[in-house]
Amino acid sequence: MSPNEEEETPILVDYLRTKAVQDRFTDMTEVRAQENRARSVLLLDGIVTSNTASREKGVSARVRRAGSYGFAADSDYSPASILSVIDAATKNASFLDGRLKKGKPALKVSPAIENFDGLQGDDDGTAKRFIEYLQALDAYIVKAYPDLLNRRLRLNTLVMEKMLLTSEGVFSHTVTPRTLLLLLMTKQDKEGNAVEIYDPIGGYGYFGNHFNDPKAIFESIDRLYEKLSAKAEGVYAKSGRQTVVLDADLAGILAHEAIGHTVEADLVAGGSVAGPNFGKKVASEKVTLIDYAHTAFGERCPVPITVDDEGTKAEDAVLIKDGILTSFMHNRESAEDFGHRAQGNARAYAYDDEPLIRMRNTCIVPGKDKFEDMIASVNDGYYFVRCGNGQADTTSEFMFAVTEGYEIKGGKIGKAIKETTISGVAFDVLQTVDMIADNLSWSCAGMCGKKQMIPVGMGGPAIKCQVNVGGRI
Amino acid sequence: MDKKEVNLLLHNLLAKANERGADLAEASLFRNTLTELTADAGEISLLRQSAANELSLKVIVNQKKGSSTGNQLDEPCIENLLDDAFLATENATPDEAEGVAEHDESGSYEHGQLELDRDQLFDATEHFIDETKKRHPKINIEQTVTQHVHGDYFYANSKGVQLSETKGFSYITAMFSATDGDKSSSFNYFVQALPKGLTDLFAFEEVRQQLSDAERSLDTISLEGEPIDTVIVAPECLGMLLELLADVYLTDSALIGKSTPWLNKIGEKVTSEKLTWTSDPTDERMLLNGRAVTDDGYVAKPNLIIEKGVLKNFILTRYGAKKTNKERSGNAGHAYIVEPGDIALKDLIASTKRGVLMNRFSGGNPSASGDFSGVLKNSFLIENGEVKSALSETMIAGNFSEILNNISGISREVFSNGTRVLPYMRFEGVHISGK
Repeated sequence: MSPNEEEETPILVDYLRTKAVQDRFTDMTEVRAQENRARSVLLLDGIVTSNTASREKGVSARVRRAGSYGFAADSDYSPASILSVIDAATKNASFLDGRLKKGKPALKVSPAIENFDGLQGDDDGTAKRFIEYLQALDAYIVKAYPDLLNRRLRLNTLVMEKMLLTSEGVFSHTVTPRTLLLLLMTKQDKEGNAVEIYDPIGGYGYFGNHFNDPKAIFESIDRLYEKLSAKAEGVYAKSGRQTVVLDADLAGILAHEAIGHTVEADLVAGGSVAGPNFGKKVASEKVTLIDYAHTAFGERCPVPITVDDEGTKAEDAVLIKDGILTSFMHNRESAEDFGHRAQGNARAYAYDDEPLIRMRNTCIVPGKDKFEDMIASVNDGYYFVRCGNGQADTTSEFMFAVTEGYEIKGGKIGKAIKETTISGVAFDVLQTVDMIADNLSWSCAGMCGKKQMIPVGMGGPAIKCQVNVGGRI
Repeated sequence: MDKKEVNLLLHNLLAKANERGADLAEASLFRNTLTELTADAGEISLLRQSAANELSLKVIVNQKKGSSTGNQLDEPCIENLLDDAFLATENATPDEAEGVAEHDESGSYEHGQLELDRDQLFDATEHFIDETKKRHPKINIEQTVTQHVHGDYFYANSKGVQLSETKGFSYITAMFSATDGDKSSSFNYFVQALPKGLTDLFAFEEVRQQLSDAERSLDTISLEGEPIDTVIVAPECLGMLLELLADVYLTDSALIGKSTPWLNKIGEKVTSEKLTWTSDPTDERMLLNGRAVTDDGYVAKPNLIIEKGVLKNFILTRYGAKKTNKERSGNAGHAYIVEPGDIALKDLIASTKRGVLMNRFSGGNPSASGDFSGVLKNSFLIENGEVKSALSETMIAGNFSEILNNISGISREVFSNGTRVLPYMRFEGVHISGK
């Protein structure tokens, strides 16, 4: 960090809390100063093909007048800029209110709180450390597995630092780092077609929190190669309704895509099928699904949120309890429209983004069954382990890609399968859940797209259910 | 900062890079001013304005590359940008393919609707919301986002190349579904460029069709019986499939990693001879994604990818071309144009005994070999030449290379939303199945 930058953050932190800023407020206002810092290195077949550092920072303000919002942002990261974005956002809100005249009353006042989170850690990743680390992994792969068609190793850190002040007296200063290693290997099957597999490793924290000794990753590399070799001899999945065991990665994306999006209040207002199902049984009574704010089962979540970008103190949102749909996820406006409580789901990705209703750490709560028993109970089905992208729908029909999966035959895990996709209507699929494992793991690499990309946590235990499989046979 | 000041900024940055020992360097500034109107659940809710910069620097020292990006333009932050870029080179690996653009086509370009017309943004949004309520009372508009973007791109490098481009455009994105009591259709969406002065989105046939289809999709069936192997893909959906295909068959990553099945197939027939496919960001119909300058410092030119089934060009940047010893393509892809066919859409449908009209595909990223699978959305069963019921819980799987070799018809009509110009296309050899 340059000497200038070392001074900027304390100056802004102090300035945000001065009378000069508070005197500028005429309506409900949020002011945010934010910096996203990222570093990324990609090694492709041993060559550093991407080696970048980026810093994106600026200030923004959002103003609400009678139900109309104005927003303004500027990359000038300075006290003067804070005043000008407040003025510009106020002008935009005033213009919109003048045109629309909604006349909505003021929102319930949020309690004034001070919040500090994540300020203790240190960004210890440098290009040198990243490259040396990846080169050590690459050297191991080349020696151990010379038959690969290609190998890609990527190391990323994203650090989001936010300072928020609201006209109601909330002040929050948070730093949320996430570091990920992505191992991707490709080999050819016997027909010469490329087959690939990947594994993300890492999560909340900096480089030094996860990646000190390359040797600690060698076992993961060995396991990944075994899986790749199995997949190179893989078969196509059968299409149609199948009994499956979804491992934690897929249970997490099921919670996120299939349920989570449909119960975001903006999608509910836009016609999501979750709307008419509020308070009704939408899943097996074994299923409880929670969007955790920052802590789950005594451990820090992958994307801990303590106060959201509207100044709401973050608390857990219990979306489904014992099979009953009990909550939506809200921002302050939708919470009042629905007569519910805002629980800290409003987040923005960059300084020039407005807060949207977003998930945080969405997870099916572990049950009591043993994973081995779940596999043994399936005579002819699939075990799906790793997912790629996914998508939700207002009908609660979901889709996600499966990049690693296996047949289950006679209660035993069998041949690997090639890439496939699974889908279903979430509320129907959840009714078919008849076993939930007692384990839990979080996916560390989730990014959710909804006008803006944003890091999310997704997790769960293994679950057994029935889904549609997009096979080619 | 005016254009002269920006060019001076870039040149000073390059000069400093040279002083610090860079053998080669390139610098670019992308800046935009955005005005945006958002409507949630059919009500305008937010007016947003922002101005953003992205200053990028790449330096090469002894064939080792380092890059950095920032959005601040003051002196201390520029020094920081240089520090980050040079630090990154210290442990990088030498790569002969690294370099910068080298040509004599420096210039300045301007195109599109540069001036913000705020009334147009409001009028187009309000007209769309009001007309939809009147014509399609069962449609729920989840969100519209109407934007005007004014963008500048400046590029300069140590070989003396200097290019700049200024463009402006307005467009609307709308996401919607139909609801009727407890029933809800799948969501659908469109992106539509707003040419100067246009405020009536119902002038576009695709917009009218999509809203009607959403209401027709309230009642659906799941496919039963034998799987179907014929699909007619609508233009917007075809555009999405072409993007997925390009990623695994044609771009830098696929060629450098040697994972594409088309690796050494330039000049060979790789698809049906019915297909001629170009990428051309200089085409005047590319109102939204038109480009005059590529990100790696070249004047953009049309790129003929496939001509009558024969692979003519990949989609390679300067780096990808050097790395693979192949031709650099004229642009970065995306602005796709497929030549129309010789059959009217109504006849394409009428000649389909049993198939599916696919309007939207929700699927996983394809495998390196081009296998794809996903869910059909907003799609309809075709039986005996007629479009029948809307489908739900129906999946499609296939392989890109296989289906491109089984194109059984391309419509005469083409459609453009300002990002691509595409027809309807019928493929054989997919696997469409229900529950």
